[in-house]
Amino acid sequence: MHADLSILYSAQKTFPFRSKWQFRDAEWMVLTSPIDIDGVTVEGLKFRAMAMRQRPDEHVSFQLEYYPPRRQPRGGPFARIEWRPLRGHNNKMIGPPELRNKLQKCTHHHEFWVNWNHSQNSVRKGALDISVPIEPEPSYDQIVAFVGKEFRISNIDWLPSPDWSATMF
Amino acid sequence: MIELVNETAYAAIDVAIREITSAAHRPEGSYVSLPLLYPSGSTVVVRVAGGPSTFFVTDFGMGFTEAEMMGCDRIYLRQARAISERTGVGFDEHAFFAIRVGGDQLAGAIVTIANCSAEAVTISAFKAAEKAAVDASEFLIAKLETVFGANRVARKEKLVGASNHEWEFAAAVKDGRRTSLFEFATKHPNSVANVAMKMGDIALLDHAPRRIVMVHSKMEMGTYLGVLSHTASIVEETISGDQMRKLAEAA
Repeated sequence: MHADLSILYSAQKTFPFRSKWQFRDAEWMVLTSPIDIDGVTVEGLKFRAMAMRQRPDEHVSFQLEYYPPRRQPRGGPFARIEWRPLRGHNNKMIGPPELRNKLQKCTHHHEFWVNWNHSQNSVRKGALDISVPIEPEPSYDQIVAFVGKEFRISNIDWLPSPDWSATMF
Repeated sequence: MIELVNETAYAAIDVAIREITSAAHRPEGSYVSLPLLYPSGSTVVVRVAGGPSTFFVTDFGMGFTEAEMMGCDRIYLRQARAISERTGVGFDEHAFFAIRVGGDQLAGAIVTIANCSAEAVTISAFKAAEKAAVDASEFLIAKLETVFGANRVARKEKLVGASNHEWEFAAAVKDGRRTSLFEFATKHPNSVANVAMKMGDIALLDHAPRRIVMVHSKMEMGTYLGVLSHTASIVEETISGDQMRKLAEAA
């Protein structure tokens, strides 16, 4: 049996504590946090954000991920938002017709329902093949507010800004 | 055959080609976006630094990050090391890189680094899907042990088929002279082919043991269900203990 990702996605969530960004290596920093729903820290449910240490105000990813205890289906991210990415995204030949075969170079949203309605099996395996652009390009504060609203994390203000103070350039 | 009719078409193609690759110049280097895609659909980006005579080209750990976001970063490290050895490209446990790249080698080095990064992520995603089948087998065994008791369940049971080839099965339930063989199959073509092959070879034996394949969801398996049902009974992982017992007793 597997958790119903649509219920997890729709539920109002909170961070159980204030997580901090960790420097993973010379290039990247990561913040991960468990997620609470109705006061319960849900097994396998996690928030993850990634940023580049030397790229302030650019290329930050936020995602919700769920890994079932038995990894069957294997799980993975089920919603992701990419802010000012260095890499673009191509929906290939799926998703909204007007976005097919278009390279989305700006901030974009691997929106849960769009992907879920396309293929529940793919989403359960962590494949978020479809994204939609977010326009106009939001500021960092705006994208964090957007993440909170879309991921339904009520205390999103507990998410600290990436630590770009050690930028080498 | 569609023929190009005029200069306007050529111009449109030239515009499209120019859009395929782009570079964002930053103080630490230029981020070059290439017409290669990771399994997620994200474009592969490499960073070029240095110059004007020699350059440093790296995927700056983008491949590792892609893998990490898919939950297969440990698999990625193994694959990346192997690709690094095979191609001669550097890998420092996070990033693929090429150092002292001459100007006349720069285009080739960018393509090489990008392909190494994309290949490592693609293989990792594939391997992660295979690993899910192994995890599923563990679930199958745990369920069998709950229903039949651990002393009646043999793990990794080996049996010689009609071809004289020896096959290994996830589990066997033994009750006196009666044996039931169990396997788990995922929707992945390799998984279906592998399970169908071994079940088919066993089915040809005189007094063949009962063969049961567990799947996550019959609906999800689609037409693969027919491939497996030629030579085995198929159950979903939600099957009750009573149903499982009846199935094995019918052997």
